Amino acid sequence: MPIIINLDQVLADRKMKSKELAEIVGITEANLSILKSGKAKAVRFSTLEAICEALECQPGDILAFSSTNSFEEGQ
Amino acid sequence: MNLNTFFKRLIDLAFYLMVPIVVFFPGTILYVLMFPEQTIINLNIPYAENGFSGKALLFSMGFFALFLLFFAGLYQLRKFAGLLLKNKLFSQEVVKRTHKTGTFFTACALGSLIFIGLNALFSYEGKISVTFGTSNFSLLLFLLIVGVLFLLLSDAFARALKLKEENDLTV
Repeated sequence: MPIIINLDQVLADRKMKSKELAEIVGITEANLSILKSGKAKAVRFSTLEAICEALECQPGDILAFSSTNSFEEGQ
Repeated sequence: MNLNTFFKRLIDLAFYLMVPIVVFFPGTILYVLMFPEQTIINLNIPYAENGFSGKALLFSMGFFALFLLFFAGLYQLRKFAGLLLKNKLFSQEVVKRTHKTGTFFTACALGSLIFIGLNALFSYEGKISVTFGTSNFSLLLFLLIVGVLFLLLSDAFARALKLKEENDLTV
């Protein structure tokens, strides 16, 4: 997946645990784990909005694009 | 009794009614071959009017092979009905079972159509036979339609499974 999720990094910067974030955002820990592990196929705007609000950050702080990953997958 | 249970019971009934044919057919043919003068079994197959000839044996074997294809299709359908009953509609197993059902039914129908075509060709005596109502031909054509429908269903289930996976992995 060429989209990288930097949620772990942002959480560590905010000294917040995944459980806390899941509670604030209103999603299950299992779903948050799917997002963090990069297994998610899509993210709802409402979820992204809630995460950004909880972590006081921009979507770009959480999501990043890496062309090398997509190249490796193509191989 | 809901529709899934009714469907499963119907298939179970058809399946268990066909088991004796699968089990006893080869034995019956063997018995007739070993004892050609027997009077217990009245064979109702073409080319067996004047004793059990090689042509009749060939016909029986062809019929049995095609019947086995149909039976295999019904077995797969029975497994599919079981999965429906367990509410596992969107799984790889359902895709696999419907594809196998479709393949077996299609092969059986196509084979049987060729088989009855060849049979009609060999037994042609200058007269054309016309059947009004439901004939073997229309039933086989229907089986072919059902077979192809199951292949399409398998494809539809595969797409549905992919959509479900995407939906499950949407946060």
